[in-house]
Amino acid sequence: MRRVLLSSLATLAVACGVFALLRPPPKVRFADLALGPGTSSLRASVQGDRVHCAGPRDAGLCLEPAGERPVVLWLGNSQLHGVNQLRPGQENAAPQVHRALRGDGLYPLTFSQANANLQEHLVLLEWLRPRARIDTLVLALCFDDLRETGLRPGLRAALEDPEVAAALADSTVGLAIAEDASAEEGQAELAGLDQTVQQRVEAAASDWLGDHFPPWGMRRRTRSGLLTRLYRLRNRVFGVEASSMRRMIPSRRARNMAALEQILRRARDTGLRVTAYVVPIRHDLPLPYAAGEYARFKEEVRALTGRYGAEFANLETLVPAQAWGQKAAIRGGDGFDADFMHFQAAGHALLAKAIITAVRGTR
Amino acid sequence: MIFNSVTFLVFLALVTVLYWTLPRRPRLWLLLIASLTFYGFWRVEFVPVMLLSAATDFLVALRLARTRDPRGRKLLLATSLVVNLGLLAYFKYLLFFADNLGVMASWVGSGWRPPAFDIVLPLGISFYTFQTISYTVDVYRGHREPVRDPVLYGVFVTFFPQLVAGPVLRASEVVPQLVRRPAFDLDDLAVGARRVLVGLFLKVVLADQIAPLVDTGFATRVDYLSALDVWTLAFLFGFQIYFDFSAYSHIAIGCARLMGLRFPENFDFPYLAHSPKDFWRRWHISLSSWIRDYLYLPLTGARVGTDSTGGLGMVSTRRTRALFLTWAVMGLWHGANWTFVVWGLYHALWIYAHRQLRPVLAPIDARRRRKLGHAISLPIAMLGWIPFRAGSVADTLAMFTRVLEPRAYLRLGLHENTYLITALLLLGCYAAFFVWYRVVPRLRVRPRAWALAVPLAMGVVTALDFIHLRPIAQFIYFQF
Repeated sequence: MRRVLLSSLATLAVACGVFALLRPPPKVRFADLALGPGTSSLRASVQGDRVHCAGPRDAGLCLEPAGERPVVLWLGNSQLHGVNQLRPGQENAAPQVHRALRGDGLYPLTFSQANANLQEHLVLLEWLRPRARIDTLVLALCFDDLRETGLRPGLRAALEDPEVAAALADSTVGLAIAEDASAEEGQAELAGLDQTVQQRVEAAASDWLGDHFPPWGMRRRTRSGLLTRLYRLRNRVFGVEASSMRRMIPSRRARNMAALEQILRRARDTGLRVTAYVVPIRHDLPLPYAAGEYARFKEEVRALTGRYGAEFANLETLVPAQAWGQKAAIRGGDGFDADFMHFQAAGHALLAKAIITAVRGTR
Repeated sequence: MIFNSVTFLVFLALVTVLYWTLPRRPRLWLLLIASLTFYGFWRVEFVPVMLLSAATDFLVALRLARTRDPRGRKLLLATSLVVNLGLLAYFKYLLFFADNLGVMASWVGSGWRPPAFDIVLPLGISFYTFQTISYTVDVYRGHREPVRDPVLYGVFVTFFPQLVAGPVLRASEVVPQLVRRPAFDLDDLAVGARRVLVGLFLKVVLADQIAPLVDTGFATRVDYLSALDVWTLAFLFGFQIYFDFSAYSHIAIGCARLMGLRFPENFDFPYLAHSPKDFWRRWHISLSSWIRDYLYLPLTGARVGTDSTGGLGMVSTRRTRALFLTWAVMGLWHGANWTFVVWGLYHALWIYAHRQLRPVLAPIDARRRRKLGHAISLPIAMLGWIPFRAGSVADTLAMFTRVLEPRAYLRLGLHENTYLITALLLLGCYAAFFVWYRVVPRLRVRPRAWALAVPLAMGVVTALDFIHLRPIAQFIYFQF
């Protein structure tokens, strides 16, 4: 009896120790955890009104002040909200674009999420359409993001909107996105218990534990922390750095390009002005892309935008070397990696200027 | 109720405490009520379906014991089969038959379409119907006496650990243990709890984490998949289903052990098998033993076993037709879809080919033959999961064709992590085998080392279970 009890206590002690080890530091902001130290996330307000949001969950903050004014919708990835070596008083491109174009009678709003792919842009655009008077769409095209696929949970919820569902049903790629999202939804918490007695009991038990047992509420962050550690371990073992070559994933690339085409088709059919641009990338170092694949991507998007009457801008060399920076090494430890995606505030000023010129050019 | 939930863990703790505080008769009542509650937490309206199957076989078995007339006995057996297989046919196969009739009607130019059925498959129906059928057949064959206590019999059929996804147990394996009233043993509790924790680890830390990669891979259009991608997905799903299903068995065995009951093992490192016969001695042993004793051997006229051990590996007859028929049924048991029939026939073909090749391989010395057998068996077993997971027979054939195209080996179409995780899992399986058969026996004989190793390993497992415990996905075998 004593042996079993001692063994059980020792097991519990080890479990507590492992949990404490895996728990991420509480002060790190969730958005910055993904960007890594060196780059900060910034979603700005102008005159107290939010002009930069992430997705449907916080969209109300941006949409409400917009009212009936014609919106310039800028969709992109973390390049739009991430600022390298951010200093107090600095800002990114979104508020600058907002202030400049507001004088033209327009109301620019920016929506960006880390690694946002074109399927997500398509869904977000369809979700925002009935909620804002969208006049112009500015679309950031990032080669990296063609490697991503699927919708994150906040965007999956947008599919429940009948207007979004109907718009997606209009195309093969839209149907495929909805089908995959539905499968992913089936993997969501409690989805396996849908409409059962256990669903209600489980939700109540989980809520109770969350309220009365703090470690229960820390589990989500701990899971993320564990994944980050595994990601860094993988990078360290295989020598993966920010500058390592990224291979294209054919099925994901095809799906994202089909989503881009659908965005452009819908924009043309509904009279939406579109400016699509290839995002700035660091050019003072060898690119982490296969040169041929990247060139083909640029050619393809140029041709697509031309076919659907959209404006196209290649801004890949817009930001000079001195406006880029470094970030904490993706393999962990004390080292640094070159940041290929997020530039400093000076780069944001240049990007803002280019976008303002491009939007004015469409009018 | 699903195992990977807080609700179940609280339920299990309560039942275990009550179980050990009650005398024998109330214990049986407790297990029966707990089992019905466990089942009712999913859909209470399907409890009567399960009770109908159980009650039919209880009454049929009692009548069988009193009936000497062979015709009357056959009639009673037929009653049991009609009720149980009828339930299966209605809930599991009606849509499939109707759809196929619709397709056949279109072949002959008829515009007939099957009516729209709204049928929900009752959880675990394939398992408890097989369990009750085996009970009646055993009584019919004279292998056992009928159980006269309805509560005892009810516990045998509905016992919650094995109710919805096995192991498929025989009455002879459970009833005597329930009658005997197990004595309290703290070691049983410790071992049972460890099995539950290991099962949860396999489910929530491994199977549920692999699932998104598998889902994304199989959702990819086959044109975009290379030959290596198909192999990777076959291996990855092979690991997912193994972790998922063996997790269920671990938890079932662990729960039973908490009550002082011992269930036979259902898995034994199946991917370390060196032949199809060996594979089916290690994979879902209780089902393959059931199929052997209640389908295959009767079809071949050979001797029939009386317990759920040994799997299909014990089969040694030459009846090819019975082999293919058995495997087609085995496939259909897993799901009402032609992909499962393809899966069954794939295994039949593998077994058949192995039987034909065995004399050719006989001159090779046993050790080398085992190694060679493993090197060949592992990829064949894994590739066999393609029809099991693919969306259609057309996708299955396209994926099979892809692995035969030499040029399709020159590119890659999945995310890098998919290959990496698959390779790590394969290495992990070999490492687990090595640890279980080489390291653990050595540790066991050194009490201090063992006393240190167990809390260390179980502490890590417990922490990871705690972090990942979410009822996000049902066990794969729930759909069967």
